[in-house]
Amino acid sequence: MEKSAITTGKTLNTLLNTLASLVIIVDNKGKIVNCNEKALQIFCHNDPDHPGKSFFDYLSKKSTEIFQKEIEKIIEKGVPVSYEDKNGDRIYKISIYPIFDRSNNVGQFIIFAKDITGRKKIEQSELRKTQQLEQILETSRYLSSSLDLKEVLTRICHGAKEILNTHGSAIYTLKKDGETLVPMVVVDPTYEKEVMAINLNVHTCLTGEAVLQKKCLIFNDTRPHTKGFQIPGTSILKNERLIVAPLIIRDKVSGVITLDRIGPIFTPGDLSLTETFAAFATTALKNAQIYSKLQHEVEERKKAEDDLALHQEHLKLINKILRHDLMNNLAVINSAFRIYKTMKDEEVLGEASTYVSKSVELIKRMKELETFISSSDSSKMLSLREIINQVIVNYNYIKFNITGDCHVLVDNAITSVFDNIISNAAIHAKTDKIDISLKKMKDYCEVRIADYGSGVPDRIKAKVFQERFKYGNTGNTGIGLYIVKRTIEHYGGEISVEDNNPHGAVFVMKFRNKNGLKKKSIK
Amino acid sequence: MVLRKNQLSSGNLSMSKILIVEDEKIIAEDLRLTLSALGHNIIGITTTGESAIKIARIFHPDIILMDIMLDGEVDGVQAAEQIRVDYNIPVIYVTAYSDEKTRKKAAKTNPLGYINKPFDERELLDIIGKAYIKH
Repeated sequence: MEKSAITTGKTLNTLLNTLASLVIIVDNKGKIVNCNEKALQIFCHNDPDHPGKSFFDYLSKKSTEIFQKEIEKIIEKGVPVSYEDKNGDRIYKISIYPIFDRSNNVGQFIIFAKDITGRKKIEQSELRKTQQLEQILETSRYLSSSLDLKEVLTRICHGAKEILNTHGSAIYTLKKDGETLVPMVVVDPTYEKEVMAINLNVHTCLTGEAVLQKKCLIFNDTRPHTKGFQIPGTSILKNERLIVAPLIIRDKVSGVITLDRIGPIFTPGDLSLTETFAAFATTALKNAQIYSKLQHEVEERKKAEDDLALHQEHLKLINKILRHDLMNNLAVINSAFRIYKTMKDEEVLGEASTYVSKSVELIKRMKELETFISSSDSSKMLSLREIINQVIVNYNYIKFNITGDCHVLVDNAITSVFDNIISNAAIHAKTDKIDISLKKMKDYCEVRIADYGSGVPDRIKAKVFQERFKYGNTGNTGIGLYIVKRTIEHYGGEISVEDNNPHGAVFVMKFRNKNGLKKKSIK
Repeated sequence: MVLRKNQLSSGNLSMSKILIVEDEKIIAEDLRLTLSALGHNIIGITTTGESAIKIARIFHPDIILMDIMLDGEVDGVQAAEQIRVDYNIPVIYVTAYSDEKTRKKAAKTNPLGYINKPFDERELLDIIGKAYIKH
């Protein structure tokens, strides 16, 4: 009987030793009853006195607490339990089975501990890779979802910082000089403002090395380098690491992405990830360049279309004037000669002569229109007072009172603007005195030309700037004030007419100054 | 060359009452002299659309020669339209040149014809003759 029991015990030990798991049998007080060789070696540290000793003597306090809780569950429910626990740097899957005695009570427990450290590491590595891929995918989506370069680059910095688990990240663009790196985006919880405020020189900082060497670089020990780290002159910590990748467009470095970490070193795997984010940033920069080029082209095209439409409008006007007004004048001259032949009335010859003069005047106005059309690209800052002084030389029979001065962006057509208004006041309104004031306002320059002539009746105030509007016996071509208005509008300004006191008219013009040119409307 | 009355056949058009609406006084006078020489009765010359409407109401001319571009608030086309609707008096437009938009607007008033400035006396007579036949 005894011999048989010994044989059975030996057989059990042999069986336990063949198992890959660590196996320990404990009684319900936690004392070790038996264990296989692997358990003896790893859990009991080859302690020869282990039989009868408490299993808890070999466990950490935390593992003991977990074990005791699980044992309680088994006693309560009578079913096996499984859980994961760490022992040193190893991870084990622990399975505990109850062993019932003849009274059907739990008398002992058999514990199987399987080392799953390798599997866990693979699982964690796979999980990390999946997370990285998800993060890379999410970041890549931003490349096409936004036209805002800064927003896209910020997403890239955040994505890189998260995946590579770094302290901060930044993207710099390289200026045309090939030496200056300008911070575009900085994601840094500590030194964001400081990094953002400083341009780097590629020759005086580690970040610049990636530009000079045109490749992704890791600096796991930054201290031996005489060059600064991110911000030259700032202190470098012992475990401060840096990884930098250049952004290369058409074989030229356009910028860099930098990531800094305080702690674990950067690995070749981190290098690949950084290069991936550098590729994203490069794509974002390329997209921005293409978008900017397209936007510029669209603006240019729109401007060309607007110019063309304006030119077409003026050509139509010129055509109308030539075909109607000149033809009409010729018709009058023709009729005058026919009447003269019949009636021998010399007065009509005088009339015919007037229409010859009117035709000459029309042709002069065409010249003004031509100046207006062709002068659109030759604007410069000019003194309006100087221009007015040049115009009034031709009106020495009128007394002028001029105050103030302004410099505004205009072209050669401005001379016709003042000449038209002064000429109208002199010839049509028959004034002998004109007051001109030039006032600098916040966004514009206000020019008021006040005459003391016959004035402009209220009912035609809104019409005097219309194309071919003629008024009164002296009404001439009907396009002078139209050209005036179009010219001022072309400068981004405006014109209106008011009553003067005690009589006459005031032409009020507003020309945008430097401030006003930046704004949509002038107030 | 000014044609004399006997050089042109005015036929049954003689003594028709014509109103001239033209803001160029010399052209208006030339039209008056030419048409009078052909036997037409020029009941008046006016320079604005507003006064043309008034004269049409009072004197009821047979035909109105209407300049399209007139001084004042009412242009020739507007005046012609009102006269056609109110008094059913036909209009012949006199114009130096009119753009497509104005021509389309003028066409809606069913004119009897167009006389181009500077006018030719034969053309003038021809158009007025055709106008009488149409009307």
